[in-house]
Amino acid sequence: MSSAVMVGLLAAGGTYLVLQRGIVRTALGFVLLGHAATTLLIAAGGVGTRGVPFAGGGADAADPLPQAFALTAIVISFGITAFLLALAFRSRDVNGSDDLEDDR
Amino acid sequence: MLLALVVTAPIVAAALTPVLGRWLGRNVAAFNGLVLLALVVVLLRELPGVLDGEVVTFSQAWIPSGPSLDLRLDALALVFALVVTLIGVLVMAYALRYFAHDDPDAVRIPALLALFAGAMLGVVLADDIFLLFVAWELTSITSFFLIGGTGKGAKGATRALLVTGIGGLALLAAAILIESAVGSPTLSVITAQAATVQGSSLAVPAVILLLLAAGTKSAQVPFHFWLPGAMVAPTPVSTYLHAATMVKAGVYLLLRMAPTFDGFMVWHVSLVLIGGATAVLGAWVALVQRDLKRLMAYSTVSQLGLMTALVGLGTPLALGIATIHVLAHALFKAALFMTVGIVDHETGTRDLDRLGGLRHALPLTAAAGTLAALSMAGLPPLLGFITKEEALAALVKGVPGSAWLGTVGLVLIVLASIGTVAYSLRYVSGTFFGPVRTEAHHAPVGFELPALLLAVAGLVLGPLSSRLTPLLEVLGIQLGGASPGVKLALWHGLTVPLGLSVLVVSLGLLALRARPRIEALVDGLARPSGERVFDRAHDSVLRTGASVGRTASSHALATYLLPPMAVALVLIGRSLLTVTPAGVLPVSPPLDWVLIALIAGAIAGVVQARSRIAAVAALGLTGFLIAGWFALHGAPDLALTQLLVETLTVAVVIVVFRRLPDTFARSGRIRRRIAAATAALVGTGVGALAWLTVGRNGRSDVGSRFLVEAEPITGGDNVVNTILVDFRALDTLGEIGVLLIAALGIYALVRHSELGPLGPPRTLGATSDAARRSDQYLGTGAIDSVILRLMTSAIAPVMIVTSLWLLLRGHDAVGGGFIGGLTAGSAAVLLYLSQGHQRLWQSRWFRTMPTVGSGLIIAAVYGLAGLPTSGNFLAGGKLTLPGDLTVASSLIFDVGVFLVVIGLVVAVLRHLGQGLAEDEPVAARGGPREPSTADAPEVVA
Repeated sequence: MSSAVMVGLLAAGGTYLVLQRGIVRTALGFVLLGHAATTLLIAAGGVGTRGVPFAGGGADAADPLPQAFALTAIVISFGITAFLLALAFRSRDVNGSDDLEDDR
Repeated sequence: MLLALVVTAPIVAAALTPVLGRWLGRNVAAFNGLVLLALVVVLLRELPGVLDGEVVTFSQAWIPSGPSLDLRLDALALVFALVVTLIGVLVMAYALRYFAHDDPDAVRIPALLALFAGAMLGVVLADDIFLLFVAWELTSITSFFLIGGTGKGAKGATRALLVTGIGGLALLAAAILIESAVGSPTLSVITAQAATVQGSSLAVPAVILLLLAAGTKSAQVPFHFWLPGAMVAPTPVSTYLHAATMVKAGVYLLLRMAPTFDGFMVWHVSLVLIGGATAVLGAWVALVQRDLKRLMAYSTVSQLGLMTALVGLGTPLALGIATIHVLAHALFKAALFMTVGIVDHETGTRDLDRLGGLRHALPLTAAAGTLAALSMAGLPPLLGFITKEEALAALVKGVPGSAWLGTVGLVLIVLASIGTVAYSLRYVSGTFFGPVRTEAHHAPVGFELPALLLAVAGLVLGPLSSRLTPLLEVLGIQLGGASPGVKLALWHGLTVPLGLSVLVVSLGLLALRARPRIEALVDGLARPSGERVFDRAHDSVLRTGASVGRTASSHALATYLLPPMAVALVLIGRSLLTVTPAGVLPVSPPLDWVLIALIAGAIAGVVQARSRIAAVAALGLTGFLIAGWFALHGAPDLALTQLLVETLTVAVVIVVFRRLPDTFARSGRIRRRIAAATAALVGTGVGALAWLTVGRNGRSDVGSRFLVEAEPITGGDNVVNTILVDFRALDTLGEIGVLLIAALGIYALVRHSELGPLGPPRTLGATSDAARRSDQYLGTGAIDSVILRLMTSAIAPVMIVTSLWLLLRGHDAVGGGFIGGLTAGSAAVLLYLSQGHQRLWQSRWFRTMPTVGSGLIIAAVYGLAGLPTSGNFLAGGKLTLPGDLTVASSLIFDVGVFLVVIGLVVAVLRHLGQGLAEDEPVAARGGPREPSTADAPEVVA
């Protein structure tokens, strides 16, 4: 129940920011959407067992597979954030602002 | 095997040409010429067998249950292949002297010509109709580049490409129809099943499509306009493609299909009428041209019409003589184009009004041009006379089953021939005889020789035409099913064709004298210009496309995103209504709710923040809380990764914010309302979906298996890490590929953008080298603190060592390449913040391209290394180190991951973190940046 609420909140916050003017707020929105996706992945793996998924973790160990997916997803989102910010940086350089709407 | 060699050798030569061109310069054309000459020899060795009716084949499976690489050499294919290779040799010899030494075309054009030769040989040797289509299209594409589609010939080349491209599609459609009627794509099988094809309801559509294909390629009315437009090409190209070979591909296709449609009246009637009309139009329009190349182009159109009409007659004699006329035409027309090129080269003009008397300055060219023109006019004793004579004989005999068609064809061809005599003589008299009107340089003998050889070949083959009789015989049998019953000779006695020839020549001479009046007449006729119709259609298609595109293309991200979001919401809503939750949702412990309340507050902070710093702080807080959530859910690796990524994200945002205003641009009220409503809908939808579908299942089967098997298989205890580097290593390889692309993207955006790239860092205003150097070395960081600087020098090395330790232990405990790389990246950030950009810029270790590149190479080479021993990419296994230590070999892969992650962080710091003055002038939009970058030193990655 709790994880569904959190995923919903992150998705709502991310959506709102993505729809704003300016690349920086869009980038922040993508970070929140990234959080929503990774937490959704972990929640999908089941939130009942919460032990550390190491070898011999026993019956309580969490599912390692979604964790592996989420781990790379986090790093990839970082790469995308960095690239979006590079766009913001250049946009300011070349156009004078990072405002997307005026970028024609 | 032999046939495969014939097709591939020119293509290989084309690939080698640019390399050899570095050493040989324009002489590289000689290399290509020798390759083609070798093929001529190879093909001639097959001649005796082919004349006996033998067939050479080659077959190689290609696409399973699809087309195969079937090649077949019969008499028809041999004539065309010899024309392609033989004329190719002479065109290469001609190109040798045509281009200047320093002209880049001197290498480019021979390379493309060789590629074209390969494609054309593919067309004539293909025994699979789809293979024929592929080669056919390749000739269209090489033609586009040879006309100069990317340069000054763009307009003519685009027209030619689109017109022949339409024909190519028609050919594909025809191939599919015929294949489905017969059940085989093999041309020799299709020919053998002519009755099946003709009996099929697909026969008429197939004929129409084939006519479209051949008509566009061979410039038949009403598609003839592209050929004169293609004359912007260099003369070797016009000679080879647009006179001797490519334009004959359509005629070849018709000849190849002629046995299949023998007796099918739609076929005969349309070919004779279209061909005859094209022949007449081409001949009489050619007569009034002033530009020699356009004259020759229309003449080619006319000759192609003659060949098409002959194919339409369909008798053994007509089909055989059409094929031999292809050879005759190639000889005289290639020679004529070459002479036009020489005249243009040596006088600087192709305008008939300014030329004349060139027999004094260019005697060899004049001889070649005159012989070739007389052959074209059909005068004895040249080869053109023989073929024209037999063509008239075939027309007089007519079409079996339709008396009127033969008569109409005969009248049209006689009319065309009168024009042909007139324009041929006009070329000779206007260019080489009469008063000298333009100064001409002397041409080197090597430049004139290819044209002369071709012209003399026509002269020699005329009297020796009886040697061609066996060829006519076998062609008639293979294409028309019977012997033509004719012996080729100069003198057959007083026959009807001879009488017609006399008539044609005398009327042609009259027409030449009456040319000014004809010119007025032709100009007065309101001819619909195919060129203009085509251009209008072309432009209106582009306009329609643009107007459709405009409605879909908005420059506002929000406008782009809303439609997909709406679709996603509808899909989510549908599943909410149809899916019933399965399983029991576990009750969340109270600590979860506390954490989520905090996260909700942090999200509100990010959304509401007006200033950038506040937003970033709230974003960082969100990330740390999420890390805590991961820790609660049994994911220590994720928690650590999330913490490091969040730290780096905040650092990156800070780095970029130094160059951006402090507060966000304020959005309008309407936008905020729409965004809030959408956000509420998306949040509810995603949350509901999450509630429905996740958290109810236990551990997945795969996950449970990994927990049990990971250690025995890989030797690693940290199951998440073993999944990353062993079980799903290919995924991870793709993911670090994405990181590499992000790093390259940042690098390219900043250093190599078209919009004012940034040079390497330098101090504005510093003039002397010494001042610049001291400014570079003494720069301070974003946080100018002595304590931080001192701390950093102590902490940064520790962090690096820690990152290596995290990397090494990753397989067994929390850590690994991603976490280690992020830790090392954090050390770089600390260095940047405390000691400034210069420190990082000059560091030998923190470089973008070497780091990401070596990382990806290490990971990929590790993957390949297992290939020979295990047969698997990214095989995994254990390594024994000195001292009886065994480690998982996937550690090497993790080192690659480690390096790529560091490289991404470094890319951000190096390229985005460049500390320019805050009041640095903003460059004019799209214009060049300030001039100081012009003399900037070379960019360092």
